[in-house]
Amino acid sequence: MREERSMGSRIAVVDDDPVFLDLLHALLSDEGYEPHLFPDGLGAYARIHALAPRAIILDVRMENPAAGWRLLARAWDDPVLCHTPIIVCAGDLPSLQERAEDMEARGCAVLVKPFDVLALLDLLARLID
Amino acid sequence: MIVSPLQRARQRLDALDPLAPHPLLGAGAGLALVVALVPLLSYARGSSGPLGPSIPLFFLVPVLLSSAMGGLRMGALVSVVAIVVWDWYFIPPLYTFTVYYPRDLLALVVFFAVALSVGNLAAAVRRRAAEALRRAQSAEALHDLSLALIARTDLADVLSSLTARLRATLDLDACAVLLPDDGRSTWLTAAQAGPIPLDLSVEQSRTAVSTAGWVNEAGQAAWLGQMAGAGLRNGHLVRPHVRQTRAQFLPLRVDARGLGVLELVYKDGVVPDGDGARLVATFANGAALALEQVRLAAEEHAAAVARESDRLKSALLASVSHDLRTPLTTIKGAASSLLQEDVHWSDEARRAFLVDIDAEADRLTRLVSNLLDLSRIEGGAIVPRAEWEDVGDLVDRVVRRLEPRLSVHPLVYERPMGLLAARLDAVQIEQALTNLIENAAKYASPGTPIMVAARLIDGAADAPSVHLSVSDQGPGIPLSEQASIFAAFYRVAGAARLADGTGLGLTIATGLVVAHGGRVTVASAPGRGSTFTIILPVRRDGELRLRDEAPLDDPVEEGALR
Repeated sequence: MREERSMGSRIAVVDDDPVFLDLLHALLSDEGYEPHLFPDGLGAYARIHALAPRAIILDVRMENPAAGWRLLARAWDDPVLCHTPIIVCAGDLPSLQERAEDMEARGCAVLVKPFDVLALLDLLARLID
Repeated sequence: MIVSPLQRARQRLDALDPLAPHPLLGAGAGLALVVALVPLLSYARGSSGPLGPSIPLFFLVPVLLSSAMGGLRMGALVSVVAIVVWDWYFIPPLYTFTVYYPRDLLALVVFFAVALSVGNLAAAVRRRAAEALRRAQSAEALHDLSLALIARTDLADVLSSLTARLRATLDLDACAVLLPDDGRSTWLTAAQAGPIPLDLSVEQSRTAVSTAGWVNEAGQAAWLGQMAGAGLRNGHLVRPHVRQTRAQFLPLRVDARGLGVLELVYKDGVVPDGDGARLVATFANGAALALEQVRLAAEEHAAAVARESDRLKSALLASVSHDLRTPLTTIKGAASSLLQEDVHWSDEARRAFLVDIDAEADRLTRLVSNLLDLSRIEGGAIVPRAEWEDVGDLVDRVVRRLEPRLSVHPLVYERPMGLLAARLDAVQIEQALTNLIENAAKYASPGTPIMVAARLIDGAADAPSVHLSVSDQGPGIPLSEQASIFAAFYRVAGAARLADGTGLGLTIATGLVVAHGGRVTVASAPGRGSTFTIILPVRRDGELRLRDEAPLDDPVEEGALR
């Protein structure tokens, strides 16, 4: 319980790996956040929009390569989500490099897998403050 | 029937009669006419008085005729005969060769001069006509050659029409296009018109092979023929020389690159010159261009394949890096969480982290072994070791092995009628079938059956094939994604929610089946289920047959069956 002020902040986590989701759920809950898990990109957008989370942790490569990027583009255009900090997680370097400028312009934080989950938690705390 | 420009041209060419001189025919016709003129003119003299100066006019007719048909020499011969006959029958004193009046002698001399010049003219006209025809034929042949080249028809078609045309136009014994066999020092006849003598054939004669090789390397023409004159004569060394050219080898080159050789076998050693030689050169260029076009097309294709393979590799790399890095992130995250000294985890939380590490390590193992399989398949390292197998038994083994694991799905196996024997690698086909059944079990809702069937499909129109199909009553695959599912790492949208997977099972199954020359097809209706079918082609004549119908007189087949 390091960050009392983040208590109860809703965090959307979108990733296709159930074990990774499980781990993040444990860690985020332990940090006092309220994690909401989305195991695939399909239909996640509408539910995230309704959730209006404090931050989004998004894996851009899910069941099919374009799903994450589509979700990211829609979030940027969304009046509710456009100011929500988004942490993009990806293991797929070429497509990250392709979109590096775009993401820099939008102030997107990028974590390349495999990353240190503790670093993810630090980053999340800084973005929410 | 559709007649191509090539065929039409060939027919036109075949119908042409080359306007060659016929010396015997010309002389014969001229002499016969001279003989016929004697009684005719004698009768005319008897009935209407002396003919005098008009007689030589009559004798010019046979001279003209034989010159036109047989050439100048035959014309001269006939004019000499005409003079003799005229003198004997019509110049007084009659029936002697004596000429009494000087004016008659003058008439004979003038006649001979006129006959020769008229004959010369007639023969020249004839020659020009023949030449014009040859030119027309060459032009036509060249036109067809360019058509054939532009039409980009099949290389064999272009080359064979080219050799046929060249042979007909130049009146060759035979004509062939020879190509070097890649990697070896042997040569192949790619196209041929007319019979090539054994001692001039690259398939039969070492001399022909080495000549073709030299011509291709050096880019210069070479002649083969009967050699004569080697040795000492009158104390002088006489170099061997070609006494009669039998064949010519011409290089087919584009940009100093030797692509093949054109072989011409001459009739009676008659080597074409002038227009003929130019025509040969033009045809050689045409053949070289056709070969170059094919070579370039092959290169272009290879480059396209390489580009496509690069694209696939980078797509694969992107997927692999994602799929390998995600479990690593989880393992690392769980392990470092456990190692944090300032946090005290409950036993339950510690166990959850350990379970995560364990699960992700399993996932990594599965992924790595699938990737290794895939790279072996794609690298062509998987070569089926084909043995005779009973397909019914093979499917039975797979079904029995999987049944305990798939307890929530009843497996229904429809055995083939009779015994179905095929030559295949049982381990690989079992693996492919296992992947398909496991896929079906992953996505179909519990309790729904999975149907497996093995059948021999032997339609009249199609080649016979063995079909191994796996049908489920799962969610099905949207039509728009049915083509993509065969690609490595592709998973149908929402599939991750239903089951864990790497998106490699179907790719691996397909790779194994393709290595057998077969394919995997999918038929699916969203909401109702999918059927995946492994189709293995079998030859009607022995790669597969019902076992009890196998012929016993074929020792190889018999051995293979036992």
